[in-house]
Amino acid sequence: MSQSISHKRFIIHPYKFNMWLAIVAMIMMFAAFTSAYVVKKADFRYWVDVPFPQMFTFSTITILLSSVFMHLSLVTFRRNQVSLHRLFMLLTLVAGTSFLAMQIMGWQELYDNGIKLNGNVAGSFLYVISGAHFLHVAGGVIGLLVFSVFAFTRFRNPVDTLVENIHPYKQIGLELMATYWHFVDVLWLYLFFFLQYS
Amino acid sequence: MTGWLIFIAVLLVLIVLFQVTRTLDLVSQLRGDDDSQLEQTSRMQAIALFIFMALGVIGFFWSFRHFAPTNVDVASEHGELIENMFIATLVVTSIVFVLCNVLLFTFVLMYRYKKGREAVHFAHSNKLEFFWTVVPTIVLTGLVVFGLQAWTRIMGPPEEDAVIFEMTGQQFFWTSRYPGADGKLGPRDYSLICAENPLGIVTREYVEHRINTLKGNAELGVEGEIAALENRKSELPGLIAALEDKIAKRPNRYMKDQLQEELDALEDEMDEIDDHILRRNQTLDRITKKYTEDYYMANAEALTWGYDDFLPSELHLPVNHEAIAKITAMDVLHNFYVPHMKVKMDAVPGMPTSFKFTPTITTEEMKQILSQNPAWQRVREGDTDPVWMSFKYEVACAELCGLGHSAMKYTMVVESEDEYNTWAESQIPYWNGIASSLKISGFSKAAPVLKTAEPEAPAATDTTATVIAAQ
Amino acid sequence: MSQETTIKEHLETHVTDHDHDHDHGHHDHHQSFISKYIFSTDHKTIAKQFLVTGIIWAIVGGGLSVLFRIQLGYPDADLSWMKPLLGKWITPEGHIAPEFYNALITMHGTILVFFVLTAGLSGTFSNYLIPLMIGARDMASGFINMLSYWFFFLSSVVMAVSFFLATGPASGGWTAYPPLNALPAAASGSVAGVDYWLVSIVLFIVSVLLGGLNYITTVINLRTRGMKMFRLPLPIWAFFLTAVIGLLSFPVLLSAGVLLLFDRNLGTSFYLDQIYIGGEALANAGGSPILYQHLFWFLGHPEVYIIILPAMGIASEVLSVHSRKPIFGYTAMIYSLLAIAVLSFIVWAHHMFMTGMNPFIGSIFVIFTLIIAVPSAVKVFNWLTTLWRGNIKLTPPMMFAIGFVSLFISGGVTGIFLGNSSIDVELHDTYFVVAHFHLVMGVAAFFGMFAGIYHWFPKMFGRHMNNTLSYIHFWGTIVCAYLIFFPMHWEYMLPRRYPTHAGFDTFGMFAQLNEFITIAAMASFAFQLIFVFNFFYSIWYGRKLKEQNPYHATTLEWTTPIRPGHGNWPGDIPEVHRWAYDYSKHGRDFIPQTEPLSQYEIEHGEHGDEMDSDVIAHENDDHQS
Repeated sequence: MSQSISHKRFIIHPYKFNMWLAIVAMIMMFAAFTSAYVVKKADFRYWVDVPFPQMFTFSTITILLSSVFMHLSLVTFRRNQVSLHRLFMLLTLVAGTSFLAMQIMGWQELYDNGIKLNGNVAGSFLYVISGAHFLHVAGGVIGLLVFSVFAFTRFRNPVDTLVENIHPYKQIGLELMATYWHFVDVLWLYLFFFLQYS
Repeated sequence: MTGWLIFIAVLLVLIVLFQVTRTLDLVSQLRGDDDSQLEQTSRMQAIALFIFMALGVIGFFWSFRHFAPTNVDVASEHGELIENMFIATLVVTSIVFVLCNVLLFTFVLMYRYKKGREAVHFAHSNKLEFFWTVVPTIVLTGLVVFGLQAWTRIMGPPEEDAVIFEMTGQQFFWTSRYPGADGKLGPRDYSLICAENPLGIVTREYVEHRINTLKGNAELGVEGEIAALENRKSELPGLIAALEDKIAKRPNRYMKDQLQEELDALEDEMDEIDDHILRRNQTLDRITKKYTEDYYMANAEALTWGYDDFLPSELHLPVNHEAIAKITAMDVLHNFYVPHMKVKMDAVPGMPTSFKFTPTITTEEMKQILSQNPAWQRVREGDTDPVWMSFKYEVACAELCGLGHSAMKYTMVVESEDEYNTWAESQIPYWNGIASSLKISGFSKAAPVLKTAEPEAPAATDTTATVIAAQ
Repeated sequence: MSQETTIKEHLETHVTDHDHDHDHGHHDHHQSFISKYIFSTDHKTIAKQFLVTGIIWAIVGGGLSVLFRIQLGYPDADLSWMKPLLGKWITPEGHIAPEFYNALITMHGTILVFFVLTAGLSGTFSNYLIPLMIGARDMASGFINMLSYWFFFLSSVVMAVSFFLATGPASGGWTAYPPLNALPAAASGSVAGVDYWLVSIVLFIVSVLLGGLNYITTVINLRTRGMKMFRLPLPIWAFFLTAVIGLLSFPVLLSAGVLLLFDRNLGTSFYLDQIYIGGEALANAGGSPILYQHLFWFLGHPEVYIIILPAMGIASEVLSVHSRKPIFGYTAMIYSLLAIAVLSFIVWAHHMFMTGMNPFIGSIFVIFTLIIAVPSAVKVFNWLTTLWRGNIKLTPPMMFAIGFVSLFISGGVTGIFLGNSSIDVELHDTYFVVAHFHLVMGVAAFFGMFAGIYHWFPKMFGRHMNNTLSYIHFWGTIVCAYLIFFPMHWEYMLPRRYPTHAGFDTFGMFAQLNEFITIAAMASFAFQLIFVFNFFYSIWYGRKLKEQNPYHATTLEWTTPIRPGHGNWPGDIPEVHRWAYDYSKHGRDFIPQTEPLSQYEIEHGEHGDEMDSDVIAHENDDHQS
């Protein structure tokens, strides 16, 4: 019935390929933001150096940690270690959420330092770029929430667990989630250094 | 009624037409033998396509004759360069255009479908591909080289003695400014723009004046804009309440609608008035922060450049002398466009641009040229003379700037150097014309010295001096 | 290592599973109307949704152009009779209000560029043809595909709603340049219209990106056995590269749009600097309107290739099928598509020669811009050679494909004027530009689209369109297109976007020509209505398709049943053994892609199959006969 496709060797699963392409699109979007930033910064008539919020350093550490947790939760999922998987899933979720909270605190810090959204372009860029990234992470956190719920609802008994673990749809979902999460993490790392040192 | 009749008639014709086409299709189905039908159709269509192409090519060459009078006569030095580039490109592209279209439709005619004819399986030829990659590359390289040579000359540095003028685009008119005797345009600041200083030229008096018009000055009897807005804000609620009252009582629907409109306008004003006050305050803030004594010290010389600038109502330029347009905009993008000079450059708020050009034909000479041109013999409505008689070079806006985009006309006169000099000397510096009406207080500095030589100038300076002395 | 193998295993199981899912479709089990026609995940239905939405938008967009052409051709006409419909947009004297004129041109541009020629063209044919031509049951993700259409629909709704705003829709040009489009005080369309415009475009970008992901993934991953990249029919290559261009350029427009939204609503100054408007100085400082133009044209220029590449691909296919000849220079065609796709990203600033940018940077863009003419020229010559010594069946799709080539030549050559910055000084923002881009990417892309619709209509709906009406449509369209846009070149000093040129003596001599163009434009619009009628009538009442492969084409879509179900092929997906252009080879009219190579046959491209012995033998035959 389905030999025609199944003998094909995929280099990469179509859904994953889709995810990578989506990541390319997101990279282009942030490339546009950051090149606009570079262009504006070169026009130094108006550029004012903005004190970079301390909180962003902590949030960077947090999102790095969350990436590690994400990876571990995927590994434990593959190894069938349900309780560990649950734990790491939750940890990722918590780290992701705290990242969001820290970003908000970072903005608060900026605002307290007198950097307003409608003030100097340098500040506006900082808000907008980190804000765009914030939205991407927020989308990811919603995804994490869904997978955390799955983690607790899907592995009620050993048979379920087995099915869940083998079923490729479930697995590919978590893999996509992990890829996306690592992407927003690396993206933030780039933005963090870019905004601070460029 | 007739409208409806026509509509129905058209509809009927369309229905008949459609039925005919449907029958045609059905008949062709019934006749069967698709191949010979296709052969017939292909023959008809191929011939029709060929005739279409032939007519098109004839029309193409005919259009040069027919539209020649609508061509703009080039009146600038670099315009000739552009014109030459244009003609060279036109020759090249016309050959390509005609050749390719002729080949296309000829092939269609020659190789139209015939029953039993076999197409040639000819899929690929490196020689051909190489040939038509290389030939266009060579031709285009030539065009690029000449184009860039012209481009570098057009955009190159201006000459030292070029006549400088400034064009400022604004919704929806142009303001021009000449530097006056000192040859230097005074600096500008958009925060200083007000009725008396439409370009925001920076001099110490203008700064003072702008502060007065914003803050108000009881001594001089000037009500500040901020205070006026505050007053308005305080009276608005009362006006709104009164109107609401009126509407509630008024039974007449028409009147009600009208009053409602007034009410909406007032409410909008109420919504926006805080913004206006805020912006005035911000402007005041910027001015007071920027124009400190230190600033005046550091820029003492530049601040005198503005006194002799003049703002004529029309551009004048000497013929065969390079001119350089400094182009700016106040609100949105505009584009300084002089068709005859082949000058075009965006006016960008916050980013001054410039374009240099050398007019080669005076307005009078151009009139003579145009008097021979059939396209310029037409007569404007309500006029008796043909348009060429009142010819002036026209400046237009070539970047969409809003609803008055097509109304941004300005005029330019090109004349001999002597005529230009006479004109320039007769111009009164804007400062002179306005100084007497400026109300400036707390200002002990002596009146600015004007470098213009015309007789009116000292008088005007005297007036200023008196005004200032009176403080 | 072991992990890798598990993944592979999973994939295999997944694929079987996936395939199995699709198989349900063949049994035509009961689907509700909503899941079959509205929220369908079948690529064929989604394609039709894009097509019909595109046609509706084309009527709207074309209608708007008729309105502003009336203003240009008959500036004194009394249009009071439109007052009930257009209200305050008609001035008390019965003319079109200038602000409304600006809204008309803005909406005309936006609708045609984005909604019709991007979504309507690429959305329709990429969706319809990719799975059918590469031998796939459906797109990589039917769900994402469905989302793509519905984001487009949402975007359409938002744009449509903006027409009914009290202050009118966006009126600052389809490029939405700030500050005109950033400041409510600058134009009535900028009060609220631009916000709707931006939201609509953001939704549209999401739609394009979702669609594009799928097109790329499908072409890369889901080709049937034997379908190598260099065996793909040219439309697929074109759609694939279009999607790649879109994926890389649309996100940049998204950024540009987001920054503009911030400037409009939150007081930032990304694009605004030292502005004095409405009698007051704004606090904004430090932005640059030119920055927006760079970001916009980084999308905007690739966008014109997003429009024209699918048309090129479709025209290549149609020309080859109906002239019974292989497309000439298949590999050269692919490489020229690739070259255009790459170069399209480094030519954007040729839209900005007159913004006061650094002339040296301008020169670099001149060079790239004129280089892009080379692959375009190669394509034209290849199309011409494809026709040479063919057996050309002048069916309606073929007529449109030939018209496409003609229009592409006529509109393309003027690009050489505009790309040369020194000539652009004269031509920038004049009707010459209007003539150029309407011919080369407006009308030409429409012709590609029409060629595609006429060619694949029988496949889409299992019925034929009325032939006579199709010919009438063709002749009306091509004659009017040339009559509208050819003389427009003569208005080369007339600035664009003027509701009237009456204020200027220099521009006053075109009244007659403008009237002529307006008449042609109205006629052209009427001919499109004939197409619309023919299209919708034939969906339900057209002559039924009886043959599976009416054109004797080689490609896979003609191996599916006359009315393919969900999953496209009832049994196995056919396997491919050759490229898509074996026409008139070895004395056979056509050899389907599914037919294995015979023992002595050489596949195309394995060695330069110039005029080989085979061809020469035929030549001799020709001479004898």
